Formats: sequence, structure tokens, C-alpha cells
Amino acid sequence: MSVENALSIETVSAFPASALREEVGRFWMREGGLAEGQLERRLARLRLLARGPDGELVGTCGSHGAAIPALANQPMQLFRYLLTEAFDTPDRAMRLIEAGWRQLSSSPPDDDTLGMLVRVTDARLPAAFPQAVWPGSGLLHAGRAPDGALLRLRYFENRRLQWGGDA
Amino acid sequence: MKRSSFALYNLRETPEPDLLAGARSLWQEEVGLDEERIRRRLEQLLIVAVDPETSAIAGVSTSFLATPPRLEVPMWNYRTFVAGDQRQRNAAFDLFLASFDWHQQRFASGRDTRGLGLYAEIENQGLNRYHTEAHWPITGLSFVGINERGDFCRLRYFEGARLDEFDPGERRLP
Repeated sequence: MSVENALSIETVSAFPASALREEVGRFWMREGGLAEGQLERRLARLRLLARGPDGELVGTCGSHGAAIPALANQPMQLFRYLLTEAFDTPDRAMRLIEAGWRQLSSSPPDDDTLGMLVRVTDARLPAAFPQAVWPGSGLLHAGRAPDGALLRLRYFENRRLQWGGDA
Repeated sequence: MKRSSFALYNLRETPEPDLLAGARSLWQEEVGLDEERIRRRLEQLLIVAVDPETSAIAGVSTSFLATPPRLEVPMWNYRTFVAGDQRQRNAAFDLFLASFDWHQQRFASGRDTRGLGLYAEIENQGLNRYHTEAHWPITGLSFVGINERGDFCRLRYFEGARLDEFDPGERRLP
């Protein structure tokens, strides 16, 4: 890995220390990704941090459970990432997605969640990674959501579709 | 791939008249298809599974190239039909795996790269209700939604398939 591409990825514990919470809060405020009153909710979803070569915070990843309309409202972990403009490249985004899959699949939520889903809205990502199945994470192309986002997903082992009685 | 308990014949490569006639009878008698639909299915016929003990046709698979609207990429649209008295013997799995392998080999060799994988809209509600794994481990098929008719949609891509390398002129599924 070149210095230019250097990015270290840290896992966030379930209860991040207050100093880290403040650092992440400042990062989100600075990057414009935090609306009023959203801090606690977003901290609860925080899973990974990305740091640059000098240890500075350059990105965050989070996931939360969501029913996905394009999948007949099946429950998935919706994975999101945020990188600073200077670090926002397809290669780095893909590293975060791969790290996200490794983390989620190694300890999947203890509920009905079927797997991990990424909504791809940055056109650079599919251009740089056009494989039908992304090689590092195994996330496959599952089509397009009604709002135009491309959907990539992979299921955890042995998870079953949820129907509530009617298919 | 495990050894099949059926004799599997690829009619796309070698159209055996007796097996074509057997497939026609299966669709006519067990499915009740009319002549026009049987003619179309025969054009799409791929693998026929034959019970080696009775020589009866246990099931058939078909595939045709089309683009599922939500996927926006061309796929081999896969169908299978298993005779009523053979449904407890996993003929459907054998048919799928033989069909996938054949398409995968043609894709990998560059002989036919038009479709990026196999795509199935599964009408069998029993299968959908009892085999509810999001990812079917034996076939490698993953759930990707439900169509307008309520059929479950599943797919498996070929190894090496890329979304930027296909012919966009293939027809779309209705």
C-alpha cells in the first residue's frame, strides 16, 4: 500500500469512549454529515473509523437494520460510509466496504437480519469495480432501487427470509 | 459437483429426437401448455434428466437470454420442471447445477458471454415457503426480490462476470 493510499481502519466498540465520541461528532459536523439531534443515533450505528497517515480521522462507517423495499421489505444491515473529500476514492471506499463485511459477517446481529446491503450512489464505484460479485467482499449486484441507487448485497450464512405469514 | 442419480442430457448441444418428444409430452400432459408455448420451450430446452431405471423423463430445464428490468443486465432466465412422481429426488438441483455448469463453461471460455449468470423467477410456492434460505447453499442462488406475480427472484452470477461487458441490446423481460 502506498503512502498516498494509506488508510488504517479501526473497529469501534459498542460503547466508544467520550473522547472518541467527541472526535467523531466534530468530524461529522465538519464534513456536513450531521444534522441537529442526530449524534447519539449515529454513534449507536458507528462501526468503523478510517484514519489517514498522520492518525487523523478521515472517514466513518456505520450500519443499521432496515427493511429494504426492493427486497420485498426483507431486513438487512444497511451499510454506509463517509470519507473526507481528499480521501474519497473508489479504492478506499471499497476497503471500507470490505472491512464492513468482515466485521458484520464475523458477528452478525442476533436478530432476523439477513445480510449486508450497500446503496451505491457514487458512480465512480461501479466504474472502478464493475464485477457482478465484488471480489473482496462477495457483495453481488442486486439491481437498482426506485431512487436510482445501485444495490449490492450479501447474505449471512443460514439466514432465512422473513414473511410474517404471507409470501 | 456431486454425481447425479439421473442421466443428464444436454439437448442444446445434441438434440435427441426421443428426448425432445419426451419433453414435449411432459409439458403437454403435466403442465398443460398449448402448442405455441411448447414450441417456444423446445427452443429454450437445455438439460433433460432421465431416470436410469425406468428411462422416464424426470425433469427438464430451459434457459433464454433476457434482461430483468430491475437488474438492468442480461441474464440467462432459467426454468425447470420436474415430473410429479420425481419431486422427492432432487432432480431440480441436478438440473440446475448441470445447466449452470454448462453456461459457466461457455462464459469462461468466451464462447458465449452474452448473459452474466442464471436468473430464476420461482413460481413453485411450496419451494418458496419451505426453502426460505436467503442464499441457497447447494445451487448458490441468492434472493433478489419478488416480481409482480409474486414469484421469488433468485440469481447466481458466473465467475468473472462484469457489469460493464455485455450486449445492451438483449430484450427485456416483461
